[in-house]
Amino acid sequence: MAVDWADVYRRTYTDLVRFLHRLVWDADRAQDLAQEAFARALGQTPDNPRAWLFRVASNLAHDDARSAIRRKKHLVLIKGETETQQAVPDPQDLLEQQERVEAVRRSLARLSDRDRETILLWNAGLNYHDIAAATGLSASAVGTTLARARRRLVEAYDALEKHHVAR
Amino acid sequence: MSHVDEGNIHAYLDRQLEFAEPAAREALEAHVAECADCAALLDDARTLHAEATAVLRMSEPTTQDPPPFEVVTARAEGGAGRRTPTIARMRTLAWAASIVLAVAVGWYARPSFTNRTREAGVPTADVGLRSVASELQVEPAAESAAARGAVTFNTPETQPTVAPLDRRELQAAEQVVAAAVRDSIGVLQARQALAAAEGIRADRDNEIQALVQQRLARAAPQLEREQRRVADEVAEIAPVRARTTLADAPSLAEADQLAGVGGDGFAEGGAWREVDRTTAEQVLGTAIVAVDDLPIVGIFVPASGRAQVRVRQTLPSGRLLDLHLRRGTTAAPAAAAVATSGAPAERSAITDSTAMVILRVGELLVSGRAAVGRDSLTALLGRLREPPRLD
Repeated sequence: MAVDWADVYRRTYTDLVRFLHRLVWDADRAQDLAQEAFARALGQTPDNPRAWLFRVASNLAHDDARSAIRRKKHLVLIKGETETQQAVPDPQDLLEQQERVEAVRRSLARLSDRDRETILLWNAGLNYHDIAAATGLSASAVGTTLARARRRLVEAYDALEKHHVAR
Repeated sequence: MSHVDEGNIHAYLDRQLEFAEPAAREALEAHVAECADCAALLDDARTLHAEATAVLRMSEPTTQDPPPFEVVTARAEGGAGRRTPTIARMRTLAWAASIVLAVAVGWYARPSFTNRTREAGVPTADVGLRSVASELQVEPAAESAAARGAVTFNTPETQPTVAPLDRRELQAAEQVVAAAVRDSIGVLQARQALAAAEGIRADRDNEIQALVQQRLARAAPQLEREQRRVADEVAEIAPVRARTTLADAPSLAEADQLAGVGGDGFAEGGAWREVDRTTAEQVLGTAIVAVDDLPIVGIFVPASGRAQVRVRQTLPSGRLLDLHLRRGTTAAPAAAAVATSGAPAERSAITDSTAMVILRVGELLVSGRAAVGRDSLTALLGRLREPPRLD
């Protein structure tokens, strides 16, 4: 059955960008990859378009990360905020925000690929059924995976915080 | 019911349990009401759930409205498999840069053309834009120049024939101009609009360029109002430098930076006023700092009266370095560590061509921004000193 990709785009684009942003940590790249995922989707007729898109986007992000490592490209941490703010950014606020984002990035990096992807998919708004379709997990395993991912994320973040305070 | 496992508890908290089995939610609640162990497990899971959500929320990206769906269709028609996102982006940025450069340099050149115009009795705005059209031949950077050839603006000998464009192509061109007018070539908006135009078949590029020029000319009065501040900023750059360095700018971000229209609001008309050093230090409540041995081309304070100062310096390359000075009232741990170790720089972010580094110098929080690499900027800010007083 044909897929109304324009409708899927309207309902999914923002979620997809949010998901990609925490994989590539670059606002422009996240948008670019989201558009690329949709461009590749046109003409396709997957059973679960939303899950299919996130799977393609995830693959694109992993390819992009490998390319970025080869190029030794630096990652953008606060560019999105600085570009969109109309007021002059407060250096203190920027510094603290940047530290928080960096801590989250490092915490997520300590998760396994499967755990990280699952928690980010949930955070992007997918339900368990879609997460299972996007990751290949069984629906009954999604809850267990999310429980483990949440625990490891919080533990990693707490460990970084303790290290930070101890400095 | 047997004890509940952690996966089911999280599915319950996520309101996903009932989707698999409608009665599962009631069954779990009934069990937890009678089983202290499972009730404790549920409490722990609820806490963990909230903490994990809070951690992720700290890195929530800035949300933006999606670009038109036509961006995607144009991209797909342009050959998704044949062109990587990186190359597509380069092409987008290249064209965006060409538009930015045309308008920015055009506005820079405007005063001299205005004088000529007055002598000739021709309306100012038209001539300002015509000066861009007749005098500029701006080549987009890198790959795009080879792919498209130089982007030539409406010179008599290269005037392209404007064939009828379809609706999608027309919309794409309109978006380019709308973005230019609305935001004085605002980075994000222009990128999104240009992304739509970027996917158009290469063989229609000349027609699109011509159409864009027509629309820009029509929008001249609006451009004049909206982009006066661009002209003010660019006027700070020496004429030769404006023509050479801007034309050499490898990306939109760098062109943006050179033109002084960065997204941090510094260039907003009326938001900042230029002052002398003494006034700036009175506003700040302490001595200013600047990079040693670099010329200071302007010191600014907010019109709002906030205790902040901007110091603008020029690098040997002619690029601009903006320093934002503010007295820090609460010491962030990292910044405090920097201060005690004496090493200046610490947190930084980098785009393709601009970098920002934030650091603490004594009681000041300083953010530096320039179209250079992060390492270079960090090294530069290691030379922050109180500038010598000439008197």
